[in-house]
Amino acid sequence: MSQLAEPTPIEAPPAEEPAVIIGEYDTVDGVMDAARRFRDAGYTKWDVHAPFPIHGIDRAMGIRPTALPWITLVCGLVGMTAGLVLTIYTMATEFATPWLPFSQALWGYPFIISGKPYNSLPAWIPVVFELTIMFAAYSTVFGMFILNKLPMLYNPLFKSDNFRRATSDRFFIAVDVRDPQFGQAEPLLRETGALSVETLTH
Amino acid sequence: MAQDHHPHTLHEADQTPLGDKAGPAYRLLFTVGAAAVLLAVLAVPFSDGGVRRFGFAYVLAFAFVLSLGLGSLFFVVVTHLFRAGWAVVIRRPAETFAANLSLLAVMFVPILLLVWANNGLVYPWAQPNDQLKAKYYEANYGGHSDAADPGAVHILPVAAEGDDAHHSGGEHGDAHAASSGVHVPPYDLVEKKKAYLNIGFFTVRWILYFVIWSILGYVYWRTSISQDVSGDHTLTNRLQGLAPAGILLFALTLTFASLDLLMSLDPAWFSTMWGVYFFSGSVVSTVAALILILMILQHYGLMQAVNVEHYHDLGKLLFAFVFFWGYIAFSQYMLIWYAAIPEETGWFELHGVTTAPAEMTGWTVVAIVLLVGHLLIPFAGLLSRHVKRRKWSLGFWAVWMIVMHVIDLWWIVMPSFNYQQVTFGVVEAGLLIGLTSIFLGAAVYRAASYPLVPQKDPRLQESLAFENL
Repeated sequence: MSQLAEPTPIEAPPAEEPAVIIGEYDTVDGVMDAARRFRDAGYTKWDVHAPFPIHGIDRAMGIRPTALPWITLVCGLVGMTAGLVLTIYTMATEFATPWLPFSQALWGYPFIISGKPYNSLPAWIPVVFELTIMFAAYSTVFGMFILNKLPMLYNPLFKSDNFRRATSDRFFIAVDVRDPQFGQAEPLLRETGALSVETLTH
Repeated sequence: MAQDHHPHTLHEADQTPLGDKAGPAYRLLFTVGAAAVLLAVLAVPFSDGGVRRFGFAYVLAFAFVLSLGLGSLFFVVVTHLFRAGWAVVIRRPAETFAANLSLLAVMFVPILLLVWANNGLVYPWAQPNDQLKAKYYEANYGGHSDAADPGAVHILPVAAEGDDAHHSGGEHGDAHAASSGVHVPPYDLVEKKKAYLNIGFFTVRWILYFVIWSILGYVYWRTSISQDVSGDHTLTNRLQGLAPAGILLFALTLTFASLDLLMSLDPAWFSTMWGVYFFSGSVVSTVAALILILMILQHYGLMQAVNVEHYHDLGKLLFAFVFFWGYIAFSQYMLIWYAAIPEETGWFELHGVTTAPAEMTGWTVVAIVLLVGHLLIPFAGLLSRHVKRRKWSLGFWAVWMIVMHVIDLWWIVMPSFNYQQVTFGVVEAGLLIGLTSIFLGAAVYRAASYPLVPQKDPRLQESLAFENL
């Protein structure tokens, strides 16, 4: 009889390591002032959570301008180029690609429409325009998703019962464990008047 | 620094009317305006085209001032329609312009006289049809209107297409008629539009337009002024309730007014996008003018409530309408180009839009300037938010767009005066500067007695605390 191999013991879960520390505030002023303190102290991995958009919070947190407009611009230009290439190639050239695998050849197909020249730029403009818009719009939406790390199915913040009030009437500052100054975050949260301070685990 | 939800107070300069301090401004504007108009009138005998030229130049200048007035009316009504909070502090200059639309009724009198003269000097439809027919034969066949009917009505002057073909029987010098650059529209197409394009109905329509514009402009301005004193919030509700009907009336009157004023310069031609085309240009120039007016007022320490956020939003509006103008202008062109119906393409040919080098005129250059300067360059220039948030760059584009709007109207109007060569001189410049200065002067005069910022609008706080996130 062959002996059954000793089952490998399931590895014990890692010790409860902190993931994030949150401080709770009950006023806009309180969280704004606290945010300025955290900004001035040089924190980098932290965020403010509020039930509604707070005017001026970007400045109070020292958030740098987003790179999203550049993504939109570049993708819009790519879309424009794609539109021009598509229309001019298919409508005004006879360039063919019989060498593509699986017989997937592309053929330019010059065709006189309405007595216009083969390459009628005004007629291509709607196509070019729509492709520009499509590339720019989709890149903006999905670029925003990527920059915001969405979709995010789990966040340690959800473990906190207090944090639920971030969608109704409380304001939170959350400092991530990866922040070099994570260790000093708790005193600073208390110093800035946090109603409660809570360390959450992964 | 917790300013965001504490009440803002208006700067003292924003609470008090200008009063006598505005005196030098409107006196200067009235003087410049009167001098410029006088100069234009004096220049008429020394300019090619004489009274006819003056008529076209006046239509051009009037169209520009009208676009400022109507754009302002649109701005006021549409911010009420959308219940826009951000625009409250910058609303008063637009309200003042809109209230001045009744002044334009006075400015319209010369155009009415031109039409009433019934000689087709500026508007070819405003003359007896026999006269138009005679002119048409004179221009195209050398005056044989009674002898032999050539059987074909030409949208474009025949002599312009080839010189030799019509020299043979030309005892009246038919080539001369064509080379004068005066386009005579086909009389039979104009005849078919007489039910609409006649002097009596034209007059009735313009009276109706001015009644509607004057009442709308005055009601919005007057109500806002009285709210400064009473602080009655229901006044805002009343203006918002009026806005949907107001915007419909505005759209209809602007459309038909632009058809009457500009499209009927070439009465055989028609474009169903014309109203929107004029509208988009009007809003571009109005927003640009508002930006510049706010900057000038702030330069003198007024309108302290206006900050970079309001400029940013005006910049966005300017950007949007720059592109909207391009969208409409291109759509109008492309549909006509694609269908290639002579009745429709004739207008673009007269305005120099062609790729055939032999048919190009000075207006071709102007058309290209519009494509590049009214759409492509400002589109790229206004794209960035930083451009819209810096005063010098936003001011630069505002000036640029006003110049482009003037060029746009000039390109619309003046080819009907002479489609073969570009015409710009003291008459056009004088009337443009003159009417605009008088219009601005009247606005300053009207604004002087009241605060420059609505004092007790229910959305004033929202506007003062406004931020673009």
